[in-house]
Amino acid sequence: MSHMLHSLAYFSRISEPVGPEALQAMVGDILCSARRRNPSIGVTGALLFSGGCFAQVLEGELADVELIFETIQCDPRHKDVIVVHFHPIVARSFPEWSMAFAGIDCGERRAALAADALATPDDIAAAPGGADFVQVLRNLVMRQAELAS
Amino acid sequence: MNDIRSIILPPPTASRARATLDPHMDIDPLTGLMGRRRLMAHLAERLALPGAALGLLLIDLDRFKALNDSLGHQIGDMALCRVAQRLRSSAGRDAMLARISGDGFAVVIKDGAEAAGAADRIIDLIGRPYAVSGHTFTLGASVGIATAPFNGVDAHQLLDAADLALHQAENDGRNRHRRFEPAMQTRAQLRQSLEQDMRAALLIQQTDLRRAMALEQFALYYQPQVCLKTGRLVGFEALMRWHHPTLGMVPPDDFIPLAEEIGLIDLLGVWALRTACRQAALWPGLQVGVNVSPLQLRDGPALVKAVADALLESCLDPECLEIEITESSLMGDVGETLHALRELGVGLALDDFGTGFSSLSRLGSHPFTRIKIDRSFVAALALPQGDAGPQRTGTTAPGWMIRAIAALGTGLGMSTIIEGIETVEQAQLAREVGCTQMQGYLVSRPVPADALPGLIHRWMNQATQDSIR
Repeated sequence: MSHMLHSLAYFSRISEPVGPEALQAMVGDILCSARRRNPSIGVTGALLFSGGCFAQVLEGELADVELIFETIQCDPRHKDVIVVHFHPIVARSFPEWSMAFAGIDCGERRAALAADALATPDDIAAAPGGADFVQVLRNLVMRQAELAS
Repeated sequence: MNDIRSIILPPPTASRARATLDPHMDIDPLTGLMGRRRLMAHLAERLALPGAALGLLLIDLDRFKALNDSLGHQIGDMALCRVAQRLRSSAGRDAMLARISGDGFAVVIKDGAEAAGAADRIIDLIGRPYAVSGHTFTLGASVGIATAPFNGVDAHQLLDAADLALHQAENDGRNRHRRFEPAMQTRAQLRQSLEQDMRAALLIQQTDLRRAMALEQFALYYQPQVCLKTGRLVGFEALMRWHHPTLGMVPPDDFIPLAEEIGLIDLLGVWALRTACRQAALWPGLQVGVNVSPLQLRDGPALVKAVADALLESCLDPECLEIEITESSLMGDVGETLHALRELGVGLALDDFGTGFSSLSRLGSHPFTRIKIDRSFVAALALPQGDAGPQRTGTTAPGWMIRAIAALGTGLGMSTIIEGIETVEQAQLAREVGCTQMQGYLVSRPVPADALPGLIHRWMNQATQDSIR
């Protein structure tokens, strides 16, 4: 069981509102530490920030996902954590990314993308197994990659 | 005496779920935190220093037992380890942590002024979701705070103070922190002594030892009930009184919740039934009404047996006993019990009608023999004109609500008695709107049993009954 691949997705809210620059720095910092930490334990996933909310998918072996999730939980930079899904998966959705970045609502174009993804978090949460949520995040990650290149 | 109600709170530590944990352990093997004994030693050591100041936080998990029950102890234990980690990261680097009961933790911090902030961080962090062994769940935390030297100068004092504050936090709805206040201690002490006194009085009663002394403390008072049509005395409602040796008369609204909470209500209820039946057997043809707690009603077979025993023992005609049941106790599945009581031949009164969930279907489906209209409706009888009732029908008489309830009673074949009648005018109006009986200060306050013969005699010969006839 603990060696099976699992996927966990959650939403949370930023603890205190910050300006655009501080926000960029904060999200950059979160991504950096995730990318530094995750490869060694084989956890992959994606992160999105939009409208004051974080959305993140973590995938990997059960114990590793739980360990990372617990660390993230204790981060005071966010609050109101809601787990969207937590279940076994057959294959990873973000195999190439230790932590893919699906967007931040600072740039205008990116804002529009992110807003679409999180316009109705309840709908996403209600989707069977959160599959749509992962798909939405995956599409956003692809668009981000295009924008960057 | 109003203060008594405020001390009727659930008991502190005693009832809290305590999983198995050796209080003499130095280190809790599960979480690696200090055990209770080590915590006490640590506190004592720090408090012994000159000018010692610190903050003690006691933390109890909410919903931990439910987690253990639903997902098993193994996951429960893992959750406790996560909680310990979260405590460490929210309490600050200098904090000392201990696990002092199954789901209870303690945190000692240097600066008492930072205790509230630390408590809020702890409550926030412990309340965040957990992912353990493929399951996700949430827990909650309640925190009690005591600071030295303000709330205590030794370890035990401080722990007791924090425990009282924790108890208050749980009582105020959990998931919050409360600081110790001296009033909490006063309340707890008063409550404790009341509880002891009640136990002593009732247990003495039960074993028949020093019975006279116990009877001096608990007594039934009787309030007469009168027929509005004939003015004749029809019976009495038995009302419990507790004459506390030092506090004086404690009204039932204050001590009955306490008895319910500490599990003595059955004892008290059986005593009331037996006493009332014995007493009523001395008044031929008059009924006695005995109140029954919702908790007694929940154990139907025991209640039916207690009623049957009381009737048998006193040789009272079952028709002369009426069991009074409040609307609010009808919430559960009590139909079978009510029917069993009716089969014994006793009357059933629906008490405080109109104050709870007055469900007409319940009224119709249960075998009640009498509706007791709550005293709050009497106010309507004092109004010279209709109380904003259905004026358009031309019924300008006051108390249209009472009229409706009385009509309902008549339709269902039940008598209606109105409580709280204080004036002749109210009695006349109650009769006009169709009530059949009344109870209230107009006839008499509740009186002790030894005043009953005189009261019965006076009422039979007195002019009061003529005035309302």
